[in-house]
Amino acid sequence: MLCLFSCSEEEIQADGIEPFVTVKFINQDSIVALNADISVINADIKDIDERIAEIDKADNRAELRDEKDSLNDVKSSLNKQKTRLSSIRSRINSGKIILASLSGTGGTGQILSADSANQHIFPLNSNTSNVRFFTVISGRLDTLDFTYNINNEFIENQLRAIASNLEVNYFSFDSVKLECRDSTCISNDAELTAYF
Amino acid sequence: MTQNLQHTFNLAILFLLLPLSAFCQDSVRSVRPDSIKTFGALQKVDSTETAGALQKIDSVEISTANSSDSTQVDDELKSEEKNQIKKRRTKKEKLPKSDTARIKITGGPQLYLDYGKLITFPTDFEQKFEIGVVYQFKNRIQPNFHFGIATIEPDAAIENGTYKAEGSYWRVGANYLVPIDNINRLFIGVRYAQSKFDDSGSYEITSELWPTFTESFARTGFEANWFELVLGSEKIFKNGHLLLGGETGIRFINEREKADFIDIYTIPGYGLTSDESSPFLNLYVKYQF
Repeated sequence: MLCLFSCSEEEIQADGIEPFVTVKFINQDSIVALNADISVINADIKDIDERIAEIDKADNRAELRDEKDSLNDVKSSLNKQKTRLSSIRSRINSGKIILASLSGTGGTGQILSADSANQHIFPLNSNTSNVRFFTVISGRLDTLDFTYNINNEFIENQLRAIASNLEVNYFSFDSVKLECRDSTCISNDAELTAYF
Repeated sequence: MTQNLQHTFNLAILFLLLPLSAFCQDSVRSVRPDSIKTFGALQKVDSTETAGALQKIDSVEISTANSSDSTQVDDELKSEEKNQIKKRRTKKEKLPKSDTARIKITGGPQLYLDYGKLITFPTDFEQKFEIGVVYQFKNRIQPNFHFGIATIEPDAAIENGTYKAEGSYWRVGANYLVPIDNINRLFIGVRYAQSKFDDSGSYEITSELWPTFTESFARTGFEANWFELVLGSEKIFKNGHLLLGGETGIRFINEREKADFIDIYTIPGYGLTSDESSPFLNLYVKYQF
């Protein structure tokens, strides 16, 4: 996990002194649409397969050869289309998106990015016990609120702020899922998936 | 940490070797020629004077035996010459001891200044100053008392902040001199030391999004004590009053207070608290009254 945060140039960096939450975005609407398209293609391919099977059993299959060839061409084209859509769906499922802007209420800065990433680091405010984030993805503005308890710990000659009992208080995404390692839900171990 | 220890010990070894090499050069220059001269002279005395005197005695004895009318004056002369020969033989037997007998320890009070610590004054991470008084007994025992002050601001104490420890300390103990010659001497010693100090610091958590979080602390009245094993060498300058030397050794913590949250990082006079023992190297100059 540490390597994931520190090795990828595409991601927002975190040094572990400031508490943070790892956030992953899934464009659920696109996935639903892609699933629907892929289902239609699958249905078309199934129809073609059935028709080809009928042709193969027919007595006059020599006369239907041109139709069979044409159906095979269409089937090949549909398979290519299905492969492309499946690839797009996999990429969306991995959460690889461009988080164009990240800011927060009471914040002093804004994190801007033009690069896509699978995971994004959301730094929590060490001065307070709640925070409101604003995200911009493909021109869409969303809001995400967290509440937590802040504790300072001195580890390896570093003063680190650790946020525990992390909870999502509000969100404007379609849905969110917060996964913690244990019931104390320590910030830097937590991972949130936001579906939009 | 291991590299720092290695570096310190390397310096210590280098430091100890320098006076030893100086001693070897001094020995070659001064002590050995004296010995050679002395032996040469003694050999001459032995071979010429003794032989001549013995010949005289023999001739006197022969002439005495042959002459029946020897006088009382002759007897007195003979006995006087024999006594002189005996004295010379006695001198010859004692002479080899004269090389060690010449090493002289001058007793008296000495003032001590750790000039190595003065080098820290231009730096921005520590300022140290240590002086002391020493009394040199002729029986090679050297009781000593040192007093020092220090302000230490190590960068590594808090990576995202600052830390400062400041206070005073004293050490008391005794050295035992092992003179190499009249100029160079080694010594070993033990000391007990105490420090009283305060510490303070601050830390901050910076953020790309949020205002910087900052806090500070200040704590007073810490105490610590420890023991020191010392090995050193010093050289006396020609005027006999100025001594230049160095000492290395190891300090063993005996008692120290522990602080909550951020523990004491360094103790003035002792060093880092991360280990139960701490190597050291001091460079000093002394003035003997």
